[in-house]
Amino acid sequence: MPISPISATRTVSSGRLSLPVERFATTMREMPSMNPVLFFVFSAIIVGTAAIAVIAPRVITAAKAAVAMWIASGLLCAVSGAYAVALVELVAPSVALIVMLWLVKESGERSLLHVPRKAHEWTPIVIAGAVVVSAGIGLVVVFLRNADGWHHGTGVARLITIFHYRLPTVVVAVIVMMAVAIGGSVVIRRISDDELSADAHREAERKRTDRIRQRQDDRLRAKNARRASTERES
Amino acid sequence: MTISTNHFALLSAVVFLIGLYGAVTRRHVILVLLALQVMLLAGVLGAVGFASTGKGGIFPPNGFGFAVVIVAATVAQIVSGCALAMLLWRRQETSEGGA
Repeated sequence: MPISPISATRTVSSGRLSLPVERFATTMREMPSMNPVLFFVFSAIIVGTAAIAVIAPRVITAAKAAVAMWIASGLLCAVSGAYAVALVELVAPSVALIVMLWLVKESGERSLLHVPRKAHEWTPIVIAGAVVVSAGIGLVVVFLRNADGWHHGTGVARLITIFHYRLPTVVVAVIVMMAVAIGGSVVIRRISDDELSADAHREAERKRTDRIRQRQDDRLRAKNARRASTERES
Repeated sequence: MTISTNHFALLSAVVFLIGLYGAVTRRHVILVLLALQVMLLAGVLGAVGFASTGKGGIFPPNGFGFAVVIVAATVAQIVSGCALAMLLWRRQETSEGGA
């Protein structure tokens, strides 16, 4: 019979049992506490820069925002006590991004950084927004329902806490994820702005080719007619 | 006010969803790569959050190790993605992934 996380915590706090749970709770108490102000400041920076990286119209702007995002994330990790992770985050992705942009510029492929402007189409944005909001509702509901319900057991048990103890929430999450999958497949289908403009371009190209062929045929027909009439006259 | 696992989980979820939005709506290869980076950052934040609030495994927490692995994967993604984007550009003269 599984032990619920709440009952496990109560058992530890009452001190009646000596389980790995209790040792883990001791470890938890020894973890350094984090300054909430710093957490919220860095969180706001991370969310803001992530949003800029995703919606920026220029590649350079998006890359700069991504570098800022990684730096803010590294600082958040440093504040959280993850110093090694912070060091890696502050150096590795930023350097990789800067080197990537430098390589693209130096290799003569500067046009690769150009994002073509296209007609604004709201349909894919609305559908993608619906997908993201539905996934977000699923995640937020799961996390809020588990505000204090994280399991303090073995590593594997901790990872599957939500799915083990919150079956109704998980059912809702699964339904939401199915909706997300269907919505995603609809988005990935040929309804996006780029696909529509690419289709229009292809159609225009096909019509142009047809017109050229038609013109060539007409010219050939006219030439043959002229030749025939010349032969008749002669 | 104490920062708990849920704060990190919510932050991670929000960042992941922002990345998901970008990965779905953008078509330019490099912008899609940047959106994927945002999604990977969500994983890093989750791992660090669980570890630093005491739920990332026994001490020293496993979550920190996971986070370093995810960052390494991100760097590999940047490098290989950049190479693929340049190859795509040279061969097809396009910067759009689905072309």
